Amino acid sequence: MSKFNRDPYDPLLQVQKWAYRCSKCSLCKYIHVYQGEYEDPRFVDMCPPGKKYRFEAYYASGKQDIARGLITGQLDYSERLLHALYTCTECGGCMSNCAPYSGKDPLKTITALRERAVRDGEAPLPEHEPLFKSIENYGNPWQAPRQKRAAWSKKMGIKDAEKDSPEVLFYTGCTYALDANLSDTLKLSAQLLQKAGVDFGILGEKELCCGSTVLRIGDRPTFEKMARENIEMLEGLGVKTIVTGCAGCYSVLKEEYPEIQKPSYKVVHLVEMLADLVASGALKPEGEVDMKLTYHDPCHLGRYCGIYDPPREILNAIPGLELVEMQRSKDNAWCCGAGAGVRTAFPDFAQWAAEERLYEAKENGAEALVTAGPFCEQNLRGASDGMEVMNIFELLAGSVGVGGE
Amino acid sequence: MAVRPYDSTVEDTVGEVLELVKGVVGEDWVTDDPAITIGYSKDNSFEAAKKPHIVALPENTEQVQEIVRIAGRYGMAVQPASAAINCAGGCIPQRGGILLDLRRMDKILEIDEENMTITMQPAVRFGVAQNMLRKQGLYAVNPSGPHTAGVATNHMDKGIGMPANKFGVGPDHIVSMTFVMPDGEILKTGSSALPGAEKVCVEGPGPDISGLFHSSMGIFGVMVEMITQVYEWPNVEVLKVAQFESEDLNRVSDFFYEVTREDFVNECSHLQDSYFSWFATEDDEVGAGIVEYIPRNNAIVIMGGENEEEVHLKEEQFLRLVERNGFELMDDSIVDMLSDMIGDICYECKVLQSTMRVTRFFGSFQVVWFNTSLDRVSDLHKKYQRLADKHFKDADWRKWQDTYPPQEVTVYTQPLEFGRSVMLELDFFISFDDSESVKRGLAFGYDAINMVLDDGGFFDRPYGGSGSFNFGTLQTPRLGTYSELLGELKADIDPRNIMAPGRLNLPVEGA
Repeated sequence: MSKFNRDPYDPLLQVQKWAYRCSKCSLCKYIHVYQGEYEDPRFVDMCPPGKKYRFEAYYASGKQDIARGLITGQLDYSERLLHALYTCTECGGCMSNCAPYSGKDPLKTITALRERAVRDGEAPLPEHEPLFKSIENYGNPWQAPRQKRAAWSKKMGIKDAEKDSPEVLFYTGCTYALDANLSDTLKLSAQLLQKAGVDFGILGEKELCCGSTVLRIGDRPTFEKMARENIEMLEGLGVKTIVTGCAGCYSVLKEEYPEIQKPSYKVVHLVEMLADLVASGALKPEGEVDMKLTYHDPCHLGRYCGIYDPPREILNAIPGLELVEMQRSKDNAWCCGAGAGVRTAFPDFAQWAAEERLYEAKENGAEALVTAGPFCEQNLRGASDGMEVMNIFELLAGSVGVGGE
Repeated sequence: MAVRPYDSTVEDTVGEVLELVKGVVGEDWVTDDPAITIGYSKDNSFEAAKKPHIVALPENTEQVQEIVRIAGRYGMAVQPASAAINCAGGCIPQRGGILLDLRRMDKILEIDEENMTITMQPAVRFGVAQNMLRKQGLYAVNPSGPHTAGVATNHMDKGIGMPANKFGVGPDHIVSMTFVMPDGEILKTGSSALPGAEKVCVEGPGPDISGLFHSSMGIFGVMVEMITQVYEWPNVEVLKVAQFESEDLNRVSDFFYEVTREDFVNECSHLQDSYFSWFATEDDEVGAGIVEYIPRNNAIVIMGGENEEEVHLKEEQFLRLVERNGFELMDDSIVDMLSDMIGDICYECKVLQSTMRVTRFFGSFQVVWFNTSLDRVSDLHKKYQRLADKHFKDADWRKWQDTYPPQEVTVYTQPLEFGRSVMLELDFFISFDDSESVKRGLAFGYDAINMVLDDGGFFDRPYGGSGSFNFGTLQTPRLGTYSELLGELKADIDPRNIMAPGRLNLPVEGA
C-alpha cells in the first residue's frame, strides 16, 4: 500500500481541489440537456468507458475518488484501477458537461492520474510499449521507417519547408502519412492547397511525431522532450502558419506547445483553412455529392479546440450534400473510442465505442459518416459493417475536382 | 424491540458473498476491487467517507431479489443507489456491505398519456423522463435536482421543487412502488398490490403502508419500480418575477400566502439575489453582475394555460397581487437578459433545475432544509444570519479557496400546499480545502439545526448516517414514541438489519 503522498511534484496535488470537491452530480456522464430537448434516450450517454463498464470508477466522477485514494494512500494500483484509468479516451465529454455548471474540470484529474501512474512506474501499460519504442526508434508511433513518411508526396512538386521558405508548413502528422489506407488524404489535401494557390511546404522525412499520444498516456517528460525538439525545428523554418489535418497534432501544436514556448507562427487546422478558401472562392466545390451525411466531431478538434463550424461550412458548401446532425454532436459528440492510447491498449473497447457511433449515425438516417481526423477515421472504418466512413478532405477534393495522380 | 445492531463480523464472508453474487449478475457486474468501491464512498456532504465491500450492478428485479436473499443469508448490509446522486450522504453505505448500484435499471416501461402516469425503473433520470414525456405534452415534477437525478428515488425521498405549492412534494406524485423486501419477496404499494388493479388507486387497502417507504432511504427494501403521476405541460406559459428590495421576509411570506391560495400559478418559489444570479448564469463574474440588477428578494412564478387569453388573465391577477403587496414586477428587459443567458427560463425552471450550479463554489455549498410555516420564515432567517455572524464573522475566509463569503447566508423559500407550510432552505458556504472552514461549518451546522428544532422546524428528510452531521442526529432523540415505533417496524420487517443499516438514526438494541 502506498503511503500518504508527500511528493511536492505529484501531478495529483495540482488537481487535489477538483478531486475533493466533486459533488457527484453525474453531469459528467450524460449530454447536457439545458440546450434544449433531445429526441432519443439511447443517445444521451457521454462517456464511452462509463457507458460500457458502468461502475462509477469508469466515469470522471469516480476518477476523482481514485485520485483521492491515491493522494491519501488509501488506494493502491490494481489491474482494475489501470483498466478504469486507461479505457478513458480523454475525450473531454466530462469536461464540457461539468465545467459550465460547476467550474470544475474533471479531465484535469484524469490527466494528472495518468501522469502519476507513469511516475509510479505503473504506466505506460505493456500494450503501449511498442508505441513508445516506435517513437524512440522511428520518430512515429506506427513502427514505420522515416523515409515512408514522405512517400505520398513524390512527384507533386511540393516545397521543402526547410529549404524553400514557404509561408505555410503542411504538418502531415504520423497517422495520415504512414497508414497506407489514409495517405491518399494527404495527396488530396495537398492538391486542394495547390489549387487554391497556397504557398506551402512539408518537412517530409524530417517531420517528427508531435507527441500527442505520449502526452495523453501520461508521459509528460517524454512529451515535453519531443515538443522541445519539434518547437526548435518549427521555429527554425520561419513559416507564418502551420496547418495540419490531424486533430491530435492540431490540439497539441495549438494548445500544448505554446505552454512550453510562445510560437512565432499561427496554427490552424486544415478544415479552418479550407473553409476560408471555400468562402473566399479560391476553392469552388461544384461537383454534386448526392448523399445524406452526418459529421463526427473529433474530440481534439471539437471539444479541445472549439472547431465546430468550419467543417460544417465546408460540407454545406458542397452541392447536393445533405448534412444531418446526430443527437450527440459538437460539444456533446460521442467519442469514436480511439484516442489517448485506448485503441492501442484496448482495441475491442475502442471498436465497441466506434460501433456505438456508427449505430447513432445510421439511426440518424445518414448514408455515410464524415470526419476530420485520422484516428477517428481509422477506428470508425475498422468498426463499420456497412456504413461508409469518409474524410472531409477527400469529399471536398472530389467536389472541387482535384484528385488522382 | 429496537433495531438489531449490525453484525460487522460478516465482513469475513465478503469473499463467499462475492462469488455468489457473481453467479447472479455475472463476473463483469460485481467486484470488490477498492478502485471500484472507493467510487461509492463519498459525496458532496459532511458525511464521512465509507466504502462498500462489494459493488454489484443488477440488471433486473430478479437479480436484485437474488442478491438481497444472499445478503440476508449472510447478514450482510445492502445499500441501494439508483442514479447514485445524493448530496447529503444518502447513498454512502454506513456499514459497508453490498452497494447495489441500480443504474442498469434505467428503462421507462410505459407512458400512459390518457391516465397521465409514467412507469419506470429506479435509475430513470429526469433528463430522459422529461424529454420523453414532453413529446406527449406531459412532464414529471422536478424536485430541484439536476437532469441527471433519478426520478423515482427523488420522489420517494420527498424531493421538493417549484410546483410544490400546487402539486405537492415527491411522494404526492407516487401512484405505486415496487420493493424487493429484506427477505427477497416483492411488495407493491397502492392498488398495485392487487394484480390487475395497477394505477387505479394511490392508497393501499386498509391502512396504507406506502408512507412507510417515503424518505425511508432504503431501510425497508430496494425500490425497483415506480408508477408516478405526471402533469400536463401547458400550451402557453409565462414567467414573471416579483421583486422586493427590503430584507423583510414577512412581506415575502404575506405575498406567498396570497399567491398560493389564489391558485393561478403552476410554479413559484423565492430566491434571494445572489442565489438567483447563480441560478441564472454559468459564470461567477456575470452572476455577480446580475446581483446589481436584481433586488434582494425575488418571487419567481410561472403561469400556464390553454391559450394566451387564459394566461393573460392570470398575469393580470398576479399583477394585482404584486401591487397590493408593495412588490414590483421585474423589468421585462432584465427577464429578457436572463432569457438570453439561460434560454427558455420556463423550461429551465420546470425541467432542468440548476441546483448543481451553486456547487461551482467547489462543493462548498451546504444546505439546511426543513419544513416550517410561512410566518416563521423571517424570524428564522434573522436567527440564522445571527448564527452565521457568530461563527464566521472573524473567519479569515479569503484564504479559503474559491468560496463565497460564508457569513452571507442565503435563503430559499418554497411554499407548499397552497401556502399551508413552506420548505425553507438555509444555505451556507465553506471550503473543504481548509480545516478551519470545515470545523466552523460543522459547528455552525449543528447550531443551525438545533435552532430550527427549537423554533418548531421539522426535518422530514433526515438523510445521513448515525453519528454524522445530519438533521436526524439531533432530531431523532426528540421524536419519542414515533422513533421507537419506527425502530420496531424496522426490526420486524428487517430482523437481521441488512437494509441500509446505520441510517435514519433509529434506536439500536443495546445502544
